[in-house]
Amino acid sequence: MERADNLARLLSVAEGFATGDDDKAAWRGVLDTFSDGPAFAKTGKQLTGLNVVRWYFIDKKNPNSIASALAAARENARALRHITPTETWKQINMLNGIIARLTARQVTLPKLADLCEQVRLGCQAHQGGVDGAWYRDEAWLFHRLGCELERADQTTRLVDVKYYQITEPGDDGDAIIPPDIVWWNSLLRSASSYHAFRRRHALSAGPTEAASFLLFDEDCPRSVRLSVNEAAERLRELEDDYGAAPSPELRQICHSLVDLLARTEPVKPGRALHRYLDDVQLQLISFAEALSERYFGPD
Amino acid sequence: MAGSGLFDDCTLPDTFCEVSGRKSDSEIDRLFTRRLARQSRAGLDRRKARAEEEMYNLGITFTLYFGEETVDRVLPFDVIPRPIIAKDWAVLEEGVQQLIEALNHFLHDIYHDRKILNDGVVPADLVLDNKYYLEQMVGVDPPGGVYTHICGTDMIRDHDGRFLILEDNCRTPSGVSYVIENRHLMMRSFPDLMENARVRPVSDYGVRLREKLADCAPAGVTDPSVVLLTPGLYNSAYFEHVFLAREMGVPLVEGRDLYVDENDEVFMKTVCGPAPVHVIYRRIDDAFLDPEAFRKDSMLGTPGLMRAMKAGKLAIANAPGTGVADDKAVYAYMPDIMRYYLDQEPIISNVKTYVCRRPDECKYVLEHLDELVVKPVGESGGYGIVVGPKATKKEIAEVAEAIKKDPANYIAQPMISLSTSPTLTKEGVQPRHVDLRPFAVTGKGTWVLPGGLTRVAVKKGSIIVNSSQGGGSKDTWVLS
Repeated sequence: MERADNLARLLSVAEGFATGDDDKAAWRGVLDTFSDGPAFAKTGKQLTGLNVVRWYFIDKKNPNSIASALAAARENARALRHITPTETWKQINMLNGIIARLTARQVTLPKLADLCEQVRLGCQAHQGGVDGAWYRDEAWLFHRLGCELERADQTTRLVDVKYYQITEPGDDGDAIIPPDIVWWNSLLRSASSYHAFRRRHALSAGPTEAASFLLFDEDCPRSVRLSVNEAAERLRELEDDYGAAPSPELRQICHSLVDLLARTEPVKPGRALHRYLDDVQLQLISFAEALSERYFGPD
Repeated sequence: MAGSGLFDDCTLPDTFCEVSGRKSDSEIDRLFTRRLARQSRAGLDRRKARAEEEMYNLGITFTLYFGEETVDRVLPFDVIPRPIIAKDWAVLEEGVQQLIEALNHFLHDIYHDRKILNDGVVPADLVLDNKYYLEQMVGVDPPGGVYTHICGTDMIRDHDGRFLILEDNCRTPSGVSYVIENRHLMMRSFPDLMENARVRPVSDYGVRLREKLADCAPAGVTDPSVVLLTPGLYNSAYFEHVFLAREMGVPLVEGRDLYVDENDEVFMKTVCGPAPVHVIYRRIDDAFLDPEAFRKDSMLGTPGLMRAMKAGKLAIANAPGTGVADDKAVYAYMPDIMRYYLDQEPIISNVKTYVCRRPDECKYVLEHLDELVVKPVGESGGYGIVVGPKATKKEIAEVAEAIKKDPANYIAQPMISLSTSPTLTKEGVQPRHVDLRPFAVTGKGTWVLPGGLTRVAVKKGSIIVNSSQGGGSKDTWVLS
């Protein structure tokens, strides 16, 4: 559900700021966010806005599409139906049904904003339902953990790709092309953080502050730091309330991620930022692997 | 129903109608003749569509697989309930309790002293050579002496409205989730019809089931841990497994989530470590339950479950080996079985059954194939049934050959005209044939759910109500 939410945000923002169906740079930017360039090329389709949008919205052969993410969420909810609140299950089941029945003809660029909003509202309703009706058992903790990790991953990717796009090619790779207002909007709005950023920062704030906001702000619900801190908190509750202690490896990765993000110094955009984000990404992946190995692996 | 319009064409000659057959009952008169008959056809259609949409949204569906594509279907739901008046229900309830008591005596006997076989009341080979008879159960004492914790008996009504037992389901009867969900749907779709209706509630089934299962926990366990064992997500009845686990408030597990240790104790693997298990309500067939005892290639079960049961540390519901009692040939002996153990006449009769393993009855069957319904003994789900009066000459000839080749595999029954209940069809409200599967749970005593699965043959004239053959379902109203 978290992935579908993020995809819907990104697609609607990309559509809003692309100059049109043939704005190749804008649509390639979307593919780059998920390192999906090669996978899209394999479909043999032309790089146009419509093709990219349909591939991400309704193509069930694309494992990273909204339709695939919702279908997977629905299968998981079905498997855990006995502990999922009825309204939560019903809502996932209905949202999945609506998106699964969409035909290519119904997915067009002019209709995209409405479709994305429907997905986003559905995903937010899911979060609300989980928050309001799910018994606070260990399954709920795992739901939260998965959500936070996915969110941290998505924001990290977004920042990495967006800043890579504005890095001046050259030897030091540390120079930034001053981005225009469209770029600002697109980046912050993709993470639903535009208004919060404006409230927190002076008008003079630049790209460095924006990156720091999305990565390190302690109160922005989609910042990587907050997501990681929340994940660490849920892990602690799993141990304290259920006696399900993490493995030494998992504990170590969790500490190291929290430390990595607990910085006060902003990271200067450029090569250093890219290396830093690479490190965060790798640790997020290790976190997820260690989590699944400790709690859901073979004995 | 005269003058109401809606129910004008709802009776068939020589057939009991579930509504007009009991219209002298004041509650039927009030709810059906007065309230429901006021509904317009269009209004009923609208409510039916809304109810089926709700079933789809709630995922009360079964999944069909077409290659890579999957389609979710709902079981057709008929919005016109099938009523059963209190007096009729009292007889049925007592009859089901009597039947289950006899079945448990019978199952205990055939796995212990075999008195009924030695006394020649039931042919020994019919039981001992039955494919559902399990040698592994000989001498095993299930906790509380209960074999059939959950029983769903298929009943029909003759032209006078008398209930008759059609078939026993002692292995893993399904459909109870529809009984409860159908009621929810009725309450949502017809709040006006349900208002002050004296319909007995069905929503406490889960609590009763868990209570009865806990009754049968191994000796010495005071707070037994119950789990529901499912074959998994891809089983067509997965919805029901989930439903029952939720209603009981017990974990839903797959075979790989359990293990049996060297002390024959059963545990469930959880993220917080092993948790003991004392009672398993399994929705897996005997053959797949325990690869250590039965099919070695089973990926669904858990090795050692039989070991744990024999050691008195686990109750399995229903006990393995109960399938013998489902056999359609054993069914023919049920009245004798009841007299033998209980010294009572059956409260609910069997449908007259000819057992083809008896030469004189086989001869009669072969001479009257065009009047009889022939059934293979080991099948379920309505498969292999030949309805004589409706069969072609070719079908009759084929089944005659099959009977001659393997008489023991067949029984035959006279064509009983199943009762009908008014049903909303494309042609308006019309009579359609129904049966009834009441559910009973047994621990210390037997409790019968006041309701049951009413299956309806949606096709005009059809008497095959099975969901695999296009049947639908209705809410069953036991009136008080």
